[in-house]
Amino acid sequence: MLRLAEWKDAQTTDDADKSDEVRSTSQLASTPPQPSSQVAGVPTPASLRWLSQQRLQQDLTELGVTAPELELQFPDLSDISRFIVTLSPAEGWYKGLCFRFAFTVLETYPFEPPLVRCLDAVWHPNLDEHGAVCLSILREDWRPVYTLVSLVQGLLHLLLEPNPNDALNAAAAEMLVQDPAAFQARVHQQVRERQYHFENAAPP
Amino acid sequence: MRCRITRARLVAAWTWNANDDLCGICRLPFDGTCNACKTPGDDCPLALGECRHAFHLHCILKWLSSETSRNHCPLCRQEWQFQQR
Ligand SMILES: [Zn+2]
Ligand SMILES: [Zn+2]
Ligand SMILES: [Zn+2]
Repeated sequence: MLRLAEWKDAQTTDDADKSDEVRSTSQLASTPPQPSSQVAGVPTPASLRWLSQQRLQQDLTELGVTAPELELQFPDLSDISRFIVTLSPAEGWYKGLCFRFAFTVLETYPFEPPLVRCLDAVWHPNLDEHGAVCLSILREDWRPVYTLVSLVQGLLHLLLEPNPNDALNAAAAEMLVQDPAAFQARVHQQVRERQYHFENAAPP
Repeated sequence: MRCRITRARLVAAWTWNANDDLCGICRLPFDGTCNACKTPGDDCPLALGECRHAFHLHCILKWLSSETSRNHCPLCRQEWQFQQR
């Protein structure tokens, strides 16, 4: 319990500028269950849950410090393992668009990556219309030294520089390579549709 | 709050493993325990790889036992070999 208490103290003293969402969530979040007995190397469900919750809280703190203006929403404030990150690239093909990414952090975190879906499907080589995201660090290139900050940066990079060589939407990838003007026109068309969509969208 | 992250922020923050005093997996200090243990010291030793990267023994064992690891070091992706003293 000590580390969690210290962590909460650090929250209130050191990170006065941190985003309200993250701080309020850290206070509301239920205390992670601690393993009942000493664990030596062999992961048990209890120890994994403890590990993932603690790492996740550290990651959320880091995310709040690194990107205090980042929009982070927790649909259920008692569950910090599910949240929505909104990214809006300041340049590139998708300039000005808002993309909501839904994160689900598993109890195997950080040994397995979070599950991430894009809630705002768009014409993009590495996104499909169902919200699947094709990003290698979310799959085979995941490593436990990556953090939520790494993933947010990876997703932002995907929006800034779509990768036609690792395509989920092959038609979009081909259009990006063959006819960038048509690609941009199609995205711009979606920007207009998206604004309509956002004005009428229900909260996630 | 609306987010506007610039490319500069993207580049500037790729320094997550710069702190050598923290285990890169659990992100807790090496002079304490991994977050599955309570007593620092012999009960929660460090592990050093042939690649010179260090982690809590318990943390690297959990990683190596996961399918995703493919027996790679989490930092440099070389095949993980425990350093023999
Ligand atoms: Zn560790
Ligand atoms: Zn340990
Ligand atoms: Zn290494």
